[in-house]
Parts: sequence; C-alpha cells; structure tokens
Amino acid sequence: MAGIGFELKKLLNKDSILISASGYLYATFVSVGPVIIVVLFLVFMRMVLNSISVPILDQNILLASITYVFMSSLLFSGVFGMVTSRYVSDKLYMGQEEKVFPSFVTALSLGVVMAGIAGALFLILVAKLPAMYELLCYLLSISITASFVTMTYVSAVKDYKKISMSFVIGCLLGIVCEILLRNFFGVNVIYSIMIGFNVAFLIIAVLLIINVFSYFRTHDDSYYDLFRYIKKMPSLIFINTFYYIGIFIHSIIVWQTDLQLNVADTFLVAPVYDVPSFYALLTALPIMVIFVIKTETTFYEYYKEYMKMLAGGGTLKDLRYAGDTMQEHMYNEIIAMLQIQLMISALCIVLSRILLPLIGFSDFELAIFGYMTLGYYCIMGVHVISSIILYFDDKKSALEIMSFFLAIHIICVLISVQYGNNIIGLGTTVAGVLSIVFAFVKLRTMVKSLDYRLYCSQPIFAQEE
Amino acid sequence: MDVCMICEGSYPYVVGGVSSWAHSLIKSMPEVNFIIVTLYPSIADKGKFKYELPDNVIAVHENFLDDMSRKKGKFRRKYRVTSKEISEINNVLSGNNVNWAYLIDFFLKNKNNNPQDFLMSKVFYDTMIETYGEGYAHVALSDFFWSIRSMILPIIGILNIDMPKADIYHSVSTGYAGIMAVIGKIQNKAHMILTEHGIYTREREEEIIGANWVPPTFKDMWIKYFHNLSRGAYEFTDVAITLFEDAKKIQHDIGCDSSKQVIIENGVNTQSFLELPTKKLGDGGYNIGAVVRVVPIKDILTMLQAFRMIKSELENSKLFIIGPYDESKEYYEECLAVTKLLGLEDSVEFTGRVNVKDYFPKLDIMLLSSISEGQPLTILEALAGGIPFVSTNVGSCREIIYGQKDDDLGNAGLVVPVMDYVSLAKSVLRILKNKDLHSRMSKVARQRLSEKYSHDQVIEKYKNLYIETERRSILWPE
Repeated sequence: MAGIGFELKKLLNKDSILISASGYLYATFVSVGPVIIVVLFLVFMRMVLNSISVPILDQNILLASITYVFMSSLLFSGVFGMVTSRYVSDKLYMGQEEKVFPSFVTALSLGVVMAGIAGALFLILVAKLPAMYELLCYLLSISITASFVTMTYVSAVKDYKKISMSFVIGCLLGIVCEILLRNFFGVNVIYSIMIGFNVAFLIIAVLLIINVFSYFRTHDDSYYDLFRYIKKMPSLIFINTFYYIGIFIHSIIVWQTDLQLNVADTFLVAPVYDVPSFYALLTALPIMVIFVIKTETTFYEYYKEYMKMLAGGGTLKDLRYAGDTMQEHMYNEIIAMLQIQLMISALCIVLSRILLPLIGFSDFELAIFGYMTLGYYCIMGVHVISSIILYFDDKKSALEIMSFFLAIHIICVLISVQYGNNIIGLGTTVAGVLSIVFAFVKLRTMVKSLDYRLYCSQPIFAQEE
Repeated sequence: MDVCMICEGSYPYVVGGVSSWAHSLIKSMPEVNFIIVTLYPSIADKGKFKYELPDNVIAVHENFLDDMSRKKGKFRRKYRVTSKEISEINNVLSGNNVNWAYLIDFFLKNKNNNPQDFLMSKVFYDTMIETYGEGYAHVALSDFFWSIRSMILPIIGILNIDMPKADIYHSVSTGYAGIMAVIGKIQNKAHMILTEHGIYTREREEEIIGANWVPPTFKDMWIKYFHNLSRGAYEFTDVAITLFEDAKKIQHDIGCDSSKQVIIENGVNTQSFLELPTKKLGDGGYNIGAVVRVVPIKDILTMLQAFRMIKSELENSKLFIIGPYDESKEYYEECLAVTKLLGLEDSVEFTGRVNVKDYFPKLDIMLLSSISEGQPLTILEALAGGIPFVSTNVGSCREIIYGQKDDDLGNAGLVVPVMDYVSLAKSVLRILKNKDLHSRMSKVARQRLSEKYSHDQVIEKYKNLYIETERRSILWPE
C-alpha cells in the first residue's frame, strides 16, 4: 500500500478567519469629538490672553510651546495608534479580552517613553526657557500623549461619550484651576494657563485610564504580544506616521522661510502662516464625523454582508451581488461625504472673507486660509479613502497612498516656498489634489480584484504565530 | 546505470509490503546505482528511515507535503500564460484529461520552488473561478476555493521539485510519485518504469468515498483528480508493471496502453523460510498470526471479531498481531478498546515491530482481513514457511492461495469475502480442526512458493527489465 491519500485530510485548511477590520474605524473617530473640546479650551485660553495685557513675547512663548507639545504628542501617540487599534479590535473579535489590558500597558509605556525621551532631548539641547516652565511643558506633553494613547482603548469599546465626558471634565477643571491660580494666588498668567493645561490633560488621562481599567478587568501577562503585531504589520506604523507627519510637514517647512519667528531662541514658528492653517484644519473636521457615522451605519453593514459571503456560504453569484452592492454604497458614500465637505469648505472660504478680517486677518492670511482649506479638504479625503482601503486589509495600497501623500506634499511645499510668499499654501492644495486622485486610483484598482485579493492573499495554511 | 526510484508514502519511512520490496530489490542489485526520491506527509519524519540504506543508494532526495506550505508565499506573483496553458490548469482543477507535457513545461518555465506563489496568483484565481462556473456554481465559493487549494497544493509542489538526473525513473506507484517520474523523464529525456503494487487510483477512490473530510460535493472532483494523476503516469511510462492479472486489467481500464503492461509477481527469499521449523498443529494451544501494520485498511477490527468466534470454539487459541502500531495511533487505540470490549485482552497480543521469522515457528495458521491489497508479501512468506493462510479476497490473494489458472497444486489456505468475520472465523476453524487438511495445505504452500514466487526469479526479471528498457529508445506519448 503506497500513497499518502490518507494524509491529505490533515492538510485541508482550517478556514482562516477573515478578521474584521473595523478596528480602523476607532482610530478615525478618536480625533473628532475631543478635538472640538480642545479647540474650545484653546479659544478660552486665547480669550484670557487677549483680555489681560500680556507681553507679546510671553504670548508667543505660550502659543509656540502649546503648538509644539500638541504636534509632538499627536505624532508619538499616532506612531503605534493604528497597530494598537488593530490589535485591540482583533483581540476583541477573537474573544481574547484578557490580552487587551496588557497591550494597553505596553502601548502606554511606548508612547510615554517616546514622548519622554524626545521631550527631554528637546529641552536639554534646544530649549532656553525657565526651568519651571520647561518642566510644565514636559509634563504636559506626557499627559497629552498618554491621553491620546488611552483614547484608542476607550474608543475600542465604542464609548465615545465617555471620551468626550473625560475631555469636558478635564477641560472644565483646567479652566477653573487657571482662574483660581491667576485671580486668587497671583500666579503669572503664562504659568496659570500652562498649569491649567496640565491639570486638564492629567485629569483627562487619569479618567480615560480608569475607564480602560473598568472595561478590561481580566488580563493575562502577554505584555509583549503587541510587539508581535508591530513586527507582523510594520506598514500600519508607517501609514499613520506618514499621515501625521504629512499633516504638519508644511508648517515645519514654512518655519524655515523668512516668515519665521524665533521665539526665545527655542521655538521656530510662523504665526502669520500657523494661525490661518490651524483654522483651515478645523474646517475639514466635519468629514471625519460624517465618515464615522456613515461607515458605522450603512457601509459597514454592506461590508459585513460581503465578508460573510466571502468567508461563509456565499456562491460566486451571491458574492458578486454583495460586492457590487457594497461598492455602489462605498462610492456613493465617499462622493456624498466629499460633496458635503466641499460645501462646508467652500462656505468657510466665503465666510472667511467676511468674518476673519474682523479678528484682524490680513489679505495674505486670508489667502493662506483659502489654500489650506482646500488642501486639508483633500487630505481628509485621502484619509477617508485610505481608511476604507484598510477595511479590506490592503495595507500595501494604504501605505503607498500615505507615502505618496507625504512625498508629494514635501515636494510641492518646497517648490511653493521658492516662489515667495504669494503662493504659500498653494503647495498643500496641489499636493492634496494629486494625493486624492492617487488615492482614488488605488481604491479603484483594489476594488477591481477585491475577491482575488481577499482570497488569494491568505496563506495556504494559517501561518504559525 | 542510475535508477531513480520514487517512493510515495512508503520506503524508507515505513515497513510494509512496498517498502520491503523496494529494499530487497535495491539490495539485490549492487551493480545498479539507486537514487531515492521520497514524498512523505510530514517533515517531522525527515531522515527517520526504518531501513538501513544499502551502499548502492547514492543519494536520497526527501520531499514533504507540509514543507511545501511552510514557506510564506508571495502574493500577486506574475505568471505569463498562454490560453492553452490556462486550459490545462483548468483541466487539472475540473478533472478533464490533462496534457501533462504542457503543464510540466509551464511549471518548468516558471520554477521558483515555492508552490504557494502559484496558489496566490491571479492566474490561479481566474482559472479557479472559471472551473467553478463550469460545474460548481451552486456551492459556497469559499469551500470550493479551499478545497481546490488543498487539492492541488501537492501537485503544484511536485511540479516545482528538481528531479535528480538518472537513466531510468522508476516510480513505485502512480499518483504524485508517478507524476514525479514523468517530470524526471521529461526533464532528463530518460526512461520511465512504473510498478503498481496496488492500484493507486482505486485505493484513493475508496478512500475518498469513505472519507468524511471531503464534502460530498467535492468527492467527484477529488476522484477525477487522482485519475488524472494516474493517467499522466500511464501515458508517459515506458513500462507499466502490475503484480497479477486482475490488477493489470484494472490498470488497462483506467487508461494504460496494454502494449506497455507487464506482470512481475512479488518474490520472497524462500530459502530462509523453508529452513524454519514448523509447529505441530495444536501443540500447546492454537496460535494464529497476522503480519500487518495496524492501520484502518487492514481492517483489524473484523479480525478481532472473527477471533472472538474462534476463541469461543477453541478455548486455548491466541492471536498475534505482528507489526508496527505507531503509524495510526488513533486506530491502534480503537483496536485496543475493541479487544478489551470483546474480553480478549489475555489472548490477543500486539507485538509491535519484531523479527517476523521469530514468530513463524510458533504459528499454526495466518490470516489477513485487509480491505485492499496488492500482492501481500506476508502471504508469500507464510506460504514459504509452510503455514496455511486465510485471507480476504483482495488483490492477488486468491491467486496465491488457490493458484493461478495453470496451477493444479491445490489450495494453500482459504479465501473469504471482505469484512465477513463469520466466514473468516469459520474458515480458520475449518483448517485448525482438520489435521489432514492443515498438513496438505502446508505442503502445497511451500511447493507453490518455490515454484512461482521466489525472490531470485523476481530480481532477475527486474534486472533484465532495467537493461532492456535502457537499451530501447525512449517511448514518448503521441
């Protein structure tokens, strides 16, 4: 009796699970609700600054340090943000809740250590500010990073309300603290605001961490399990990192031009550029809200149906039908989102001509605001498309999109600053348009061979982990 | 002369009919260089040979099924294919007649030693969808996809193997080994010989029909697939050898050209068995022996049932199940449980791997309850040792025990239907209870063996076959 027929059964595949990619969704939402609260918080602090006479240098130090702290915290919490949210959603999907908390400890440590080291280096090598103030900046960057990392975990259980509540409570207490310190203890306004920020984000971080504790009560000791994911899908790190760098890179380039303002020999900023582009960023936030709501409610249903057909009992006909329906909704929703956001952005540009001069905007700043509004409009569109692509686990295309975006953004901004200040901001607009076209092409390509990709990219046997 | 012997799931990893045949063939031809190419399920068995390889084995190339899926495949590898090649791939999937020359050529062109790449390619996917549309559109696509993938992984793996150079590729079965020999033949423009101890296609067919791991919808697909493998080997081989008349007929029915067909029986080294002392019937109780590997196809459970009947009539009888039981642990456990259930613990002995000859002088009768056999060596050896035999009517068991058409020596034992434990028990009892019949059968046994199935004759036939085949021009399919 020769032959190995009997052995074939051992090779028959244990259907590998198509893991729900909804994890990406959490990462997307995270920014929106809290951003609004934080913006309101900033506006309040700004009002405080305006209401009392503060030396202009002090004002600049405060604004510049807040800008730097926020930007670096977003980056440090973002580097592993996508991997962790993917990890958490996979573990929840597989019912391994006990693995979530250990990964939280790891992710939090990673974020805090990165922010800590970078902050320390900056303060030692670059900053020339009073030690007390430097310490406050340092602590702030750590608590903001911790808050952002923790948000990923709280949002994994879709408790967006808890997140927003934490932010509201934190910011309110921060404001109260600031008022008390300034009015009753005679603390310098720069310090009272800085302490206010610290209190706010410390409370936010603590509240969020308490939430994580209460959600994930059981845990094992798989603290290093997250590193396995990092090793397995390094592209997720690059996708997010490129995105965050891409969002801010234009500012960093502009800070090197003659618009630059050197603040206390510590920070480079360019207020005439930074302020309008920050407002422009805010105008593009609605699309993120719409994206979360739309995908959660409609697209995700069709996506689930399609995945069910693909992995479960669907025939090719069922699969094609589910696929076509899903695609139709996907395109419709992307177009609808872009249309709504376009109206909002256009409206903002029109209104800006009327409203912004009232708070002292020059024509130059208005032009920047216009260009940047269009630029961010496209960038947010790119983000939406790449998130959808990640739903189908096509990390390669998403990475290509983000790499393209980062590269083209740097190139366009570098070119635009060569032509003087007239077209400053246009670089971002052009890069945004090119990126969104590129993202669309990638999306179309992916969708065309979606069945093939989802089937055949799976290893023949579940790879041993 | 270099002969590349291709062994699928047998030599040198397991002991058994095919393995010991291959081993003694190699050992008896020291003037021929042998290269062994193996295909075995698990890489865990790498280098774990059950035989000491003779000095004329100049190389062993081991291949393992699970090894083919170990390396991570590359997604989206591009294959340049013609429509003719696509239709051949489609034929493999759908079970239509495959033009193996085309297909082998395609994989030789695209060789990269990772079969997974192909299964992750667009070409494969599109072809699979085409096949699906042609006859499976009613089943779940994911089931079809995974079924097809696991079905063709081994063949794609094999098409990516480098065959060593040789003058003759001698495959000891059809199936994957057969296709490997075909590849060797095409790659090196050499001869090919095929020996079938059982009929691979039939064995796979029975197995698939009975298997619960193949969903009913896909059984036909799997059977056709194995047919295709066998047809490939028949088409390309220069000579197709079977052990007995019935097997030859089946081989022909499946698609082997009769001009290629030759019968060469198995042989045993009769001398060493003839010298063994024989036991006096019933002396110190009745001892029944079965030289088998403890695996499902040997149907040990039926044997145990039969033995319980025998035991109820002949209180002082014992059953020795002589052979390794580590190949299918599950089945062995089941056999042990049944033995206990039937209350036979004290009279049934699983000996494990032992020297068979040590047991022969203790045995009054031997039996075999297999569902499928080729030409079992154990019957030949038993007969050489002068031990009457009761066997199920499979393979060439009947021919050996009752004699071929031109043989009027008489019966060396009895033949019973498959899975019929009552007949099996009755036949054994009939011989054990009749001293004259027993001694007559014993005499016939030794006589038939030395006349018909001696080892030296078989070796001589193979030697001549090798020489003649090499001398002739290579036979290519039209």
